[in-house]
Amino acid sequence: MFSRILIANRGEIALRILRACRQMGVSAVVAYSEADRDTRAVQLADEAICVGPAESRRSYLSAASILSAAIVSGCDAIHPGYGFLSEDDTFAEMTRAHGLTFIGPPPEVLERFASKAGTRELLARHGLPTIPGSEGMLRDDDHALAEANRIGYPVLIKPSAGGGGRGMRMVRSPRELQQAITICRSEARAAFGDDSLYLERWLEENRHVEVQVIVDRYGAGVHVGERDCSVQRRHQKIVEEAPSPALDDASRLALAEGALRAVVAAGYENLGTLEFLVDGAGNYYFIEINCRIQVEHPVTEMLSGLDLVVEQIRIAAGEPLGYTQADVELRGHAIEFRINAEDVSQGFRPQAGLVESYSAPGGPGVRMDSHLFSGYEVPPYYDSLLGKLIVWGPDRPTAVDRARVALDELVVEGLTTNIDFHRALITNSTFLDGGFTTNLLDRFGSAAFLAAAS
Amino acid sequence: MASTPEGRRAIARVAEQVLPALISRLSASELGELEVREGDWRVRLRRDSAAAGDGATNAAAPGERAAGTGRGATGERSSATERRTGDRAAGGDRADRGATSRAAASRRAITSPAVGYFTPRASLAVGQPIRAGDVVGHVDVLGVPVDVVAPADGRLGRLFAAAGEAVEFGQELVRIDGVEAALTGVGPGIDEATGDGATADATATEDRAAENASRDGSALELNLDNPDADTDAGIETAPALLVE
Repeated sequence: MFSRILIANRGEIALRILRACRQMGVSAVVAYSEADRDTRAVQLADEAICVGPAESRRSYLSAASILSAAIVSGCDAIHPGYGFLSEDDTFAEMTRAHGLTFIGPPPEVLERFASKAGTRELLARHGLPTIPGSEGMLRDDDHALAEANRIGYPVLIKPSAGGGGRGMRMVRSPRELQQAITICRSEARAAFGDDSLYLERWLEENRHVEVQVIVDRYGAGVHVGERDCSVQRRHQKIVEEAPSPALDDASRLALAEGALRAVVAAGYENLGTLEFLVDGAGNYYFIEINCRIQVEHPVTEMLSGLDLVVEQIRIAAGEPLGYTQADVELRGHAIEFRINAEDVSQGFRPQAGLVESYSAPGGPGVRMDSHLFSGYEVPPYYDSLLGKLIVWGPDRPTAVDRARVALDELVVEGLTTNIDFHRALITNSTFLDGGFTTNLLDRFGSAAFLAAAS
Repeated sequence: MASTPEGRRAIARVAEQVLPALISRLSASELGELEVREGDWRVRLRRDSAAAGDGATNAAAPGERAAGTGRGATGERSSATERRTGDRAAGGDRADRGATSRAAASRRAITSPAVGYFTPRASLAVGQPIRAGDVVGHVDVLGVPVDVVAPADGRLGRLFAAAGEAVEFGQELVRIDGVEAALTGVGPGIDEATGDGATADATATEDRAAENASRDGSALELNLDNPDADTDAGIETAPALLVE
């Protein structure tokens, strides 16, 4: 096991990783930017080290700064969290070259799964159905138009690097495609430093379902069920739950087992999430793999009792998995609500500012993962995630009831959040039926949810 | 005098703007002594003959007279700056808050540009004059040296990190003393949390210096931009001052 881990992230996930380190008896050093000096993780860490200015390109995204911080503070491993350097194979390689361990897949595994188009081909060879898409990256407008015609409109333009909905656009015609492609390229370049794009067929009514897998260095792996992340705004997840209300037990098992078989065969290692689109008929298509801990991992933890961050660290340290699929038991239903500093009525515009008052909910089956405290200043430089409220119940209706109580208890004052939006969402009949698709918000309109709340 | 508002303003102006400019002027010139009068106050700067050889300037710390400890004995005050620096190194002389805080107004921190191992430049000596842009050392980031650069003119003060020490981004590595007041307000001052001896009072003083500088400091800035200009001509651009 590692003796000292550098946490190269911020916000709630830095705190989450810190807690896992504490629990394992491993000392933790938190790397932070100048804008994050007064944060919970920095306060609670065994040691904290400033790696750069607020601008993430020069702090959390600076491979040299992060690695140098790990070396000078005597760490033997780096946990990258999610986003930032978490899926950067060059960074993972640099980390290894300096004799440290990257907590995640080894660099060659990251490299193998780095290209989304390449990964689709690879996993298709290992038996996963994939969604029709462009052959490789889009070379130019002519190539894009030709490929879109072959796939059939509407198509989704997607950046090869990164995620989080940035650089992504759905277009319904060649004219829209030509307009959007320039915007997508510049967004992708700004967000990921890579403007490679590809196309995917757009499924009009789809659900976003993903499978959590854990695979050790020796090829032993388990799946930990699926998560349904169909409640999205602008291609970004906002509510996640498990199990998926859209799948019956037979199809959820088939999906999860198929995903695990394919990644093990393709040589995957460590924690991973395979994302699928599921259409109205129950057909599923693999779209991409996330080679990191995900924001919504607590949903799976609530069902399985596993600590996924601990599992990730153990496996990166070379420990065997130590249990089999038969040992993984999934119980009840869990829902996660992403609490964001954003103005729903202004197109989910991100907010920053002082948290005048913060009070977390509690009670049976309620978990709040957040770095907030009264008096915390939310900086304007990073994402708007303030925390995650996760509720668990023996069944979905109980989980929703607990969510209602918990959302009413949750207090974040001083800046605009999406808490009211969530309160409204859980009274929406389509949400309660479980029959929603990724179009839910587009169809009802965010304003309708807010109006219902007031 | 010092208890009247005009008196305090005059002292503040001498201490925070005029003196540092004159110190820099005196170091650059061949003169041995310079005296300045503002209102009823007179400040004499004398270059210590022993130190003059290596270019270092010994002068009354700006806060000395304002704190009411000096009474014109320039010889006695010539080592005041060094003595107080020594006190600070030993943990800070908080009893002398008035003087210390005013001295802070003319200091700037040279902070680390990166996280890594620090190596100061060889042959750095406390008191040696440095210019904005001078490289005073480097921080080794995975084998790549990143220059540590002085943000302002002044004299080299205390080193806060030893050769080979691990440093983080923004950490104070070297202090610059005797920074021109007119320039002090341009960048950030010494971080309250890390600058030992810096007090809330120091920040207020610094703010005032910046205010003064923006109001009527243009003449002094002009002088600094022309370090080779004739001493008398330079001083004449600051009409309230007389050189004897």
